[in-house]
Amino acid sequence: FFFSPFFFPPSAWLATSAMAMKFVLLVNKQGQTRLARYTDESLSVDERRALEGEVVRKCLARPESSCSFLPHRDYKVVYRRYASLFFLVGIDDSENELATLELIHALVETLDKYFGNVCELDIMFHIEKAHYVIDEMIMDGAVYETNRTNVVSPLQALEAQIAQERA
Amino acid sequence: MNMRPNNGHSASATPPPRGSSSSRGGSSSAAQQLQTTALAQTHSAHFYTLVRRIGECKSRTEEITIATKEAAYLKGVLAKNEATPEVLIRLLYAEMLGADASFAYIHAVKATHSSHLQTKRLGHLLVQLFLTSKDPLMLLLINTCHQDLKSADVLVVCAALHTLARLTSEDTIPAVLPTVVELLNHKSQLVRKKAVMVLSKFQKVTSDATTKQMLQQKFCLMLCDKDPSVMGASLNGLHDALCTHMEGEDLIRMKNLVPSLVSILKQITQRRLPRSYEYHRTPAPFIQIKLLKMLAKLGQNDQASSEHMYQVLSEVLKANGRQPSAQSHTATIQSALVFETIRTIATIYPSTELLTLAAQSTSALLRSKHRNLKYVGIDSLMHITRVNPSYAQEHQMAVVDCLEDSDDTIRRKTFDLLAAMTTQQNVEVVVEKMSAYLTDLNHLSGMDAKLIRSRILTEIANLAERHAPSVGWYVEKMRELLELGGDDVPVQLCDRVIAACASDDGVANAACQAYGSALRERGCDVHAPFFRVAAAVLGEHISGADAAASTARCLISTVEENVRLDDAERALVASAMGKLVSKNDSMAVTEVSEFAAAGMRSRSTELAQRCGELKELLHTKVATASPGTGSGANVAAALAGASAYAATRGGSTYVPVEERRRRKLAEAVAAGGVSVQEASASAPPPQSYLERQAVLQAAKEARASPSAGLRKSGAGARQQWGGVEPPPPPPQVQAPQVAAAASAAPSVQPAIEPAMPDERASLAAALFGGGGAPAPVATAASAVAAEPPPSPPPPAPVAAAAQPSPVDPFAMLSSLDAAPPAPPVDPFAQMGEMGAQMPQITPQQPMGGMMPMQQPMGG
Repeated sequence: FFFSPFFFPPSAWLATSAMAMKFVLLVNKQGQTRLARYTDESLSVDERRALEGEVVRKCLARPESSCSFLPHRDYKVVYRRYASLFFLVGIDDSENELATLELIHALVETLDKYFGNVCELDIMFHIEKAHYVIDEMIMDGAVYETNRTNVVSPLQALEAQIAQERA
Repeated sequence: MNMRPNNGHSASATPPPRGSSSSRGGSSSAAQQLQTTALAQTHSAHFYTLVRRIGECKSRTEEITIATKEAAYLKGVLAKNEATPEVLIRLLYAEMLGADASFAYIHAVKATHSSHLQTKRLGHLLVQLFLTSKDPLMLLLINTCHQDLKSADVLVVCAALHTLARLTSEDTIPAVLPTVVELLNHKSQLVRKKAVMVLSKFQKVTSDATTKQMLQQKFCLMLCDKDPSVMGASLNGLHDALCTHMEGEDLIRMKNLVPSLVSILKQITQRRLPRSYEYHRTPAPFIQIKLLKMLAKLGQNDQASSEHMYQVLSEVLKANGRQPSAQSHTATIQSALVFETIRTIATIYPSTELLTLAAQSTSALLRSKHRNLKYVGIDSLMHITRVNPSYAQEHQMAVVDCLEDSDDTIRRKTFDLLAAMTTQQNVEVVVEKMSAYLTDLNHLSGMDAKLIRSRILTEIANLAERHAPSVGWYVEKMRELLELGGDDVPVQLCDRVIAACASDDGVANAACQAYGSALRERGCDVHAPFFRVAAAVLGEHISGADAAASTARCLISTVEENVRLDDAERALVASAMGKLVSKNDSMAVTEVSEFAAAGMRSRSTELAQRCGELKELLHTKVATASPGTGSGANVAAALAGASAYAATRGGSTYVPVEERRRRKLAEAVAAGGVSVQEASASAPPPQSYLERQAVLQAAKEARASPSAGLRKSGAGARQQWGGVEPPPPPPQVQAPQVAAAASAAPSVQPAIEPAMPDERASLAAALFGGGGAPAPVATAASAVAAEPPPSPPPPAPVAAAAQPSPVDPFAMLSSLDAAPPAPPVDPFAQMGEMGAQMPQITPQQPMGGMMPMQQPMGG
């Protein structure tokens, strides 16, 4: 009788543990994946591709004025569009949707600070660096750093050290 | 801040500037040339071609082709050479686009071992993306990680920590745990905060209680770290700890944290942290949210701890509670904080003052023009109405508006809210609205839509079962739902409808009428789930010989004519026939036996088996039918001709059974052995009920063994049989308080047009119980809540109906896997259970409605 996962949504957010973010995706409006990061180990490569396709199709179908949240399978997907690029974060019931929405913006601001006015091409040509930025902000599905200086400085140190090594 | 538009694919031909150092100003062509030379040092032309081609892809297939080709090429390269950074990045692309890069996993692990920082860091990134924690390569990797953790280079240590945070299994923890714990004293805050994050992952994965305890103590220590980032990271570990069950010393340690957490939160709101931790003029919002989540867990059911929090919670609300009208980042993040605070306030031991504040903030969110804020407003309202239902009154119209919203997410969220505040008074409107929504979803297709529809169906059924105002309404609603749901009706839902019929005679009778007429009117259109329920209910519960006969005809003709139904449904019809035949001896045997004969030739073992049983049953009935009854008399007449024919051919004449008995008796008396009375007693009573039963029983036993084998062979078969068994009797339908509910509830219009304001008002009235005036409704609600439990009398007939009827031919089969009966559910037991799940509701609240809110919280 109580098996429906939707029946007690308010208590669900109390019960789940803190691995709140299941994936971070950057997908352009043609549905092409530009960056994918999963915390959820349960999905196979094919399932991931299928998920990316479905979610973006749904997001594209939604009018501009709709809210930025989308229930999809067992996830709540929070999305934000910047020019041609969608930032999508899949969260569980325990997570705060609005805060996740702003986390996406914090991520974009940090990418901006690091790349200097970032665009889709920056991410395509420096995909590993985009991954490093996400690494510095999110670990194991939880956000642990949003201070832009703290995020960017180790990355700059890394770059400097690599340049030194090469020289 | 705003990302530059990409201008389609043509722009991707030239690589963009690299790194943060390059400036975007000046003439673009000159800058591009400069960048190209700078880039040429790091990557080959091949890499740029690859990226450009990926950018120019028009379809998924094209993408996969490129990725697969690339993977094949890289495989060749890796067979000869060590992986270079460029090759690693190209592998990353190939895998991301869906190619199989498993050949490269070992190379990624090798790269982590490299002496070059760039290769090492890339290696650590790739293993995170490629491997899972159960991969056999983890053995190699953990060794490298262990060495890297001891490196003097901070960046190397960090790379290893990232890998550990992603890939940790229970087996690998002991190898690296001491080293990671040591890193908590590292001089760099970067290493300390990452070590804390890795340890919180360990805490989640490990099952060792001592390790967990040790880690929690470490997190408590790290909470006092002088660096705010490290403090923020340690909150993650503590929050995870609070999500698990704790008791004794551990729990006390956590409860002791309340004052520290409160003071941290206070300091953050007072802007004691450096400016760099602010996000759009809001101090460290993500740390605040984590703190609020922890406070919610700590204050739940704990008055003393909660009282520590009241002040800081109201401060957070006030600091962020400006009008959430502008759609700036400041407004959004502040609303996120308000939303989290409301959830916390609604979870901890309630405070009237705070709840009032929370209700005001909720109104502000609900009134917002922006759908994001409206969405969290609905969520907030759902939380505070759980503590005190009267808060919903004020927002009737807002909720009704949200029900009609064009945004699907908002509508679904509103249904969650409605489900939370459904009562017997408004259940009809709520269910009506949700069914209308379900109809709106009909145009969607695909697996996802199917999933959504089946979830909503279940939700509606839950509400209907819990709050049904009358039996008739419930039965009619469930029938509508099953028809509306089509093929998306989940099996569990079908079983529940069948179970509900078995639990109550009234429900069963109403259901028989509803399903019978539905099948007669539109049998050709129904979907399989509906038909399954109909066949099971009609077969089990129809009573009266004529009704049984007509039902049998109806079922057979439906299953033959409806193209949506196949052998699985025929098998169900066969078992329903078995039950119907037992109710009517003189039933149209020809039709049924034709059906059985056709079914026995089927390729479906399921159907053939059932039809075989049915045929056996029909034979038994014919053979044992008493001479007086219709079919039996026919048989006797037919046989009389045959015996006369045999007599002319020299056979002995046919002597009826009665006559033979009489002769036998006479012989016995003549022999002088026994008296007449004794002899007649020893002979079985001719064609008595008991005799027929014995024959039936023998037939049943003969069938029992092969069927048992069949049953074991397939779970799928079991599932299907589940539909026809006499189901477990969970009397989920409440004993209807029809009279009280009907008089209390305002008249309900079944279909409400969204556009008209008057009708919106009436909808609101129907939903919230009173025409915009909260007071009478609140009292009505509390009166209903305060009423003594209306112990729904589980009447004796219910139990009788739940048992298999004595002539049920398949009773023995069914009893093999009948589910254990669910306990009866009455509304107040449900409230109790809700209380157990949301224990912040003090025991008297569900009963007393609004009362505790007006009492001082001192006691």
